[in-house]
Amino acid sequence: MRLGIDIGSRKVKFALQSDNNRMKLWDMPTTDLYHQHLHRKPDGTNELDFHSLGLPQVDIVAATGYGRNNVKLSQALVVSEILAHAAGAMRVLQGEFLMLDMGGQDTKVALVRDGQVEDFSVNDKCAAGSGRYLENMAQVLGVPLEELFSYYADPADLTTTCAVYAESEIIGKLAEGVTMPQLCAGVNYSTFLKIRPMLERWPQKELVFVGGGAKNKAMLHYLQQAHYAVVIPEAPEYNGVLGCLEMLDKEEEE
Amino acid sequence: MSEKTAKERIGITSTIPVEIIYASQCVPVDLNNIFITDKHPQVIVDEAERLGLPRNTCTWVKGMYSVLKHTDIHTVIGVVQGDCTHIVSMLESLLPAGVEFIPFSFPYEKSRKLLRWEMQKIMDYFGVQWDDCLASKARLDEVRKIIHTIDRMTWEDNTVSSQDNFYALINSTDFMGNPEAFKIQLKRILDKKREPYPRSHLRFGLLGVPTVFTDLYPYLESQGARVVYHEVARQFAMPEYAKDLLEQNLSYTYPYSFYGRVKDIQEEAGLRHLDGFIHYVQSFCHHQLEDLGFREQLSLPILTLEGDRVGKLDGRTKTRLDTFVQMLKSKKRRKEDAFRN
Repeated sequence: MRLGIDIGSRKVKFALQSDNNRMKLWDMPTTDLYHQHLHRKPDGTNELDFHSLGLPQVDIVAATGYGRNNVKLSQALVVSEILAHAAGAMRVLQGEFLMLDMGGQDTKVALVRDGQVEDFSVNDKCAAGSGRYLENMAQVLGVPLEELFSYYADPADLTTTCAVYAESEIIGKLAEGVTMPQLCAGVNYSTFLKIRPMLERWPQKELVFVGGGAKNKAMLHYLQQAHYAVVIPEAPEYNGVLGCLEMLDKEEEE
Repeated sequence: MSEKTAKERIGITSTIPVEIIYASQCVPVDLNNIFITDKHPQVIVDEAERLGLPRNTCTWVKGMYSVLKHTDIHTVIGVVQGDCTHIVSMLESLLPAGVEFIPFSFPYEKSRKLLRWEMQKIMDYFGVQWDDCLASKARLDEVRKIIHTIDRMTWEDNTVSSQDNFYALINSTDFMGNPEAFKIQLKRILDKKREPYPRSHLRFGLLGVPTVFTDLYPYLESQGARVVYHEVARQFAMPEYAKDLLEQNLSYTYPYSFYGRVKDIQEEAGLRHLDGFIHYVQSFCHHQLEDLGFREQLSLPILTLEGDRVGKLDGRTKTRLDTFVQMLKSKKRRKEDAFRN
């Protein structure tokens, strides 16, 4: 039995692979993992509490995600999340392609060629193009995230680059009479504009879109409009943790 | 010598023909080094912000500003062309506090005539002649020789750590105010007996300005990688030191055209068998724009890292480094496998 764990900034994603190759996927808020399911050891590392997670003893644990270095799981093989996401994307596309992962705080792009990450790019020092920004904006606009994701037509022009200041800009636009669908589309389009330069670093147009952000239909629309041939795997938010298990397989083969 | 008293400490904001200051018997002090080697460099930066420097100003500039507020350094030679675009404004803001600001420019067009004029201006200020400067050059070249040996031992013998390499190179801007004492420190590095680093370690070139990370080298080593080429810091040590003073400062690549730097990097990358580059950029620094040029001009993989506050590597930066190291190791393994087959 093998467990993959992707410790993201917002959620922890689990993938439990049983010996007969059945896969169970679930998630929990990252803070719950820290507070309820870790035992701190004297050497500063942490041990996963399988019992409190309702799991039997697991043979192999592979960890990825932003928190993998902070959590320091003593039982786990640690994998970089960019490589894990790329490995996850290779499940659905071969040859040369771009992998775009939109997570809670990070947006990552990797150029994959023949089963290998050739180059990558990650947003830096600013989370304005990330999932958390979209969540905040949905809250400010008072719409569920899924609804925000559905608007792409006639986007309102949002000029503030900061995710926090954008809130007051949106409130100002509401007062000017800009409609809710236009504002939702504006939020999505401004996010797309932040991601586009990361993609355009390479001429490749085949794209695997993963992470929670891959559920954003408006983003998909803008990507397709920019001539990207987009593939979204099933359960895209679990792509990293599944890729993590794929990397375990590779390691065992080698 | 003019109005300056011997042993007076003269601040510098970047590398200058420091031979002139030594010829005058004054003591050059690189303000960047004072700031970064302080026990609490981030406290110094925070203080500059409290004193009113904008948050979105480079950490190095804020550090130098605070240093000038609190030391006995009243005279500063500020490099106003060929380094940082913020220096003029920062030093001008200190004029009312009694700081004397002497501008020095490395002419972009690399003109001998203009550089000679700039150097003459500083010599006149200190009341020294070219011959005096050549004598102090001979004194400093003795130390530079050791620095270049340490650099060669880093990439060729693989027996010097990235940290010691950086220490030797970066302190060549001011020779720690005492070339003979610095020489003793350097000899300690030479005398350290260590086994060569494993051949499996990835070999990186670090491009750009010095980083504000305090644990970059040990972290890289823990991941099986090391920096064997510090592009800008190596230039501070004047690798073309054998030529005359004017020629030496024209061969120094950093303050002139970006493409001169690229040529130097390409040559060193081949010589030192580099596997990739880390391009370090400081938040709010104009050098960030050069990332585009490096990606266009250099063929090896490049990881761009941005730093703002002084301190340990954060989780996101570690993620980048881990991925870069793992990516290059896997590429290297494949290449070696292909070669064997």
